[in-house]
Amino acid sequence: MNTEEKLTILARAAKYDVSCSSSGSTRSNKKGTLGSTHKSGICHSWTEDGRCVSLLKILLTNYCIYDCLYCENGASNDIKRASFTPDEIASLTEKFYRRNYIEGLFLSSAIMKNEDHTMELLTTVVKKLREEYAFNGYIHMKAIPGADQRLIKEAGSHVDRLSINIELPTKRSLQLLAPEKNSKHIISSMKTVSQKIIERTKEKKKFKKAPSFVPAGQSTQLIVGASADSDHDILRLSENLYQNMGLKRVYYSAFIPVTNKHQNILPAVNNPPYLREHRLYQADWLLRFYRFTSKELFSDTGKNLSLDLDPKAHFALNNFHLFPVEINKASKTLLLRVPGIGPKSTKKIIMARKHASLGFDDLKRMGIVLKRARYFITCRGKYFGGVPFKKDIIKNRLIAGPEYKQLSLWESGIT
Amino acid sequence: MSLTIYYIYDGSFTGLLSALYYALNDKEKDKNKNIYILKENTQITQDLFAEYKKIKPDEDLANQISKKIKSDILSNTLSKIYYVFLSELDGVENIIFDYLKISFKEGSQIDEMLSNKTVDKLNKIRNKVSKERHRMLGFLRFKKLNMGIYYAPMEPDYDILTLIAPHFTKRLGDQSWVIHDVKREKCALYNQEDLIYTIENIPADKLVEDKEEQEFKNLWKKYFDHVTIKERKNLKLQQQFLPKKYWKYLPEKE
Repeated sequence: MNTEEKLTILARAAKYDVSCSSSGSTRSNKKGTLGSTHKSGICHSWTEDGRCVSLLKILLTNYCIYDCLYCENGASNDIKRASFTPDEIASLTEKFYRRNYIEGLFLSSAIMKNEDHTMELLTTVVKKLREEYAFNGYIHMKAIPGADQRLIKEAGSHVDRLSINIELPTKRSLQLLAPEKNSKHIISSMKTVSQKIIERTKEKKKFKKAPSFVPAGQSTQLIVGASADSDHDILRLSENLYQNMGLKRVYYSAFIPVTNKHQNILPAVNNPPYLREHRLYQADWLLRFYRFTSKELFSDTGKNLSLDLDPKAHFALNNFHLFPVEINKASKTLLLRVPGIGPKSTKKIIMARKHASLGFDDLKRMGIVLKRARYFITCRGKYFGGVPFKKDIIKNRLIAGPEYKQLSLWESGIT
Repeated sequence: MSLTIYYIYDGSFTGLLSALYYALNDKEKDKNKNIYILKENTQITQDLFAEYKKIKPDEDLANQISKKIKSDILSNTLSKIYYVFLSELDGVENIIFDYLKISFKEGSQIDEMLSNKTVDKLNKIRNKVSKERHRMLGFLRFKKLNMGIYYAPMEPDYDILTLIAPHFTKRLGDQSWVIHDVKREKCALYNQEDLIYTIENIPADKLVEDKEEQEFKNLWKKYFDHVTIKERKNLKLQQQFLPKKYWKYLPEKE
């Protein structure tokens, strides 16, 4: 089989992995060598589904001994199979990199023979790139849960980011859909990585030249909608991973059925739950950058996020007594809780209001998005919502478009 | 009637800094003077009563004003002005001039004065240039020529060649390359040692692709097509991030 055929098969097989981030690492390079990393990451292209292409994202092989029900590569599926050799991957990465097609490599794999064998091959690829090719570009590797800790640690000393996919948020669903996967193995492999990261970070503080270990951190991915787990289950798990395991990112992937063999176990999915996936990302953002707790997101709304409203608008309506906030006085924490105002806008407001009292037009000019924020703020005591400050009215405004709401206001006789 | 004076510079950054040196000094002496900076060959309606002064680019004056900007305002102000200059937008010289007048008064506070209109105008232009620079770090495509060097053509909106070339000396440090701004007819050349900028054009007969080039272009295209999730196709979203104006030199969009 030639490289082109292999590439086609093994790129396709890797496409459901969501992460393509190349950020968070600054690999210094020596003059006259190949490769560097960029702190904020660089996107090189965008696919037709609107996702950024930053890394060459491929599987080493799609021959798999597991038969997970949600996965295209499951052993019992009748699909084309292929394997790359470590040399082929290293060379392809280098050739693409020299043409500035990519920021680096994202390497994952199905389980061939057994966990250790696969992990060994993956490690060979990254060692080859770093040592033989003197390649300093970005490498993200999917470690194989349950592989020997020694192998995972060795891989970690060569890559920028390691991730171990949890796939399903509860043990119950994992047993049902991925019977060969062992949740204990997944967690213990993740712990190995996070402990080593903590250890090395401490060493680095003492000796600057201590070798780095997974400098861009650890991440994981969860499938949404293949099991009965609620958003609450999912976000509590994420919160836990951020707080206790020091994870950098949790990715969420709406379940797309790949075979129809397991209809009796998997839910029938006509439309993959993209909106739910989107809401989870929004909520995840609130956990990471706004210091929300998962508890705040679910106060009295049951176990799932609202599909009509984004989680922050939902929070604001549930805590209506906190609003409207005065832009020129409100604390940072409170500004961050205004729908539509994020960390960047908050920073801008706090800087600018030191020098001049801010009016509504100032905010507009500063690029603060006011579409939703206007209902929750005052500028110099003045409210710009354009409708009475009442919870139901604002809720309606947020859910439907303004035109539609005007109409509904009229009809319900509110003036 | 207050006097109006135009300082005319040659279009180079050194020239602009020299003109700014005179303009700022002048303004300090006489607050009522109307002072403008103009690029050579700019079309204007001549003002009969105005004075026009041609400024030669002067390294010494440029250094003096650069030092003063760095020490009296902020260490990054000069780079900000450079970005804005590279936008090549009409009248950008006077936004820079206005900005510096305020900045010398306010000092390091200037970066926080986001509701000030001049600060806002300057920041917006700077961000546009910076955004294109960042995009081009990803969108630039090199192809291997049969003479062994790698060649990357581009046609950016703004004059960002000097902003992106240093990135590639770090990244592609062990290969020789040329980045060619086709629109402005200038190049950055790197020979694994030094980076130089030239305005010489590359003769077409030198631009013959290496024979392995087609193979990797094809592989890249195949790769690109197969990572799309067809069920989630969203061409509008794609174009929002990857505007059509950059497609010309992308093998995956050929």
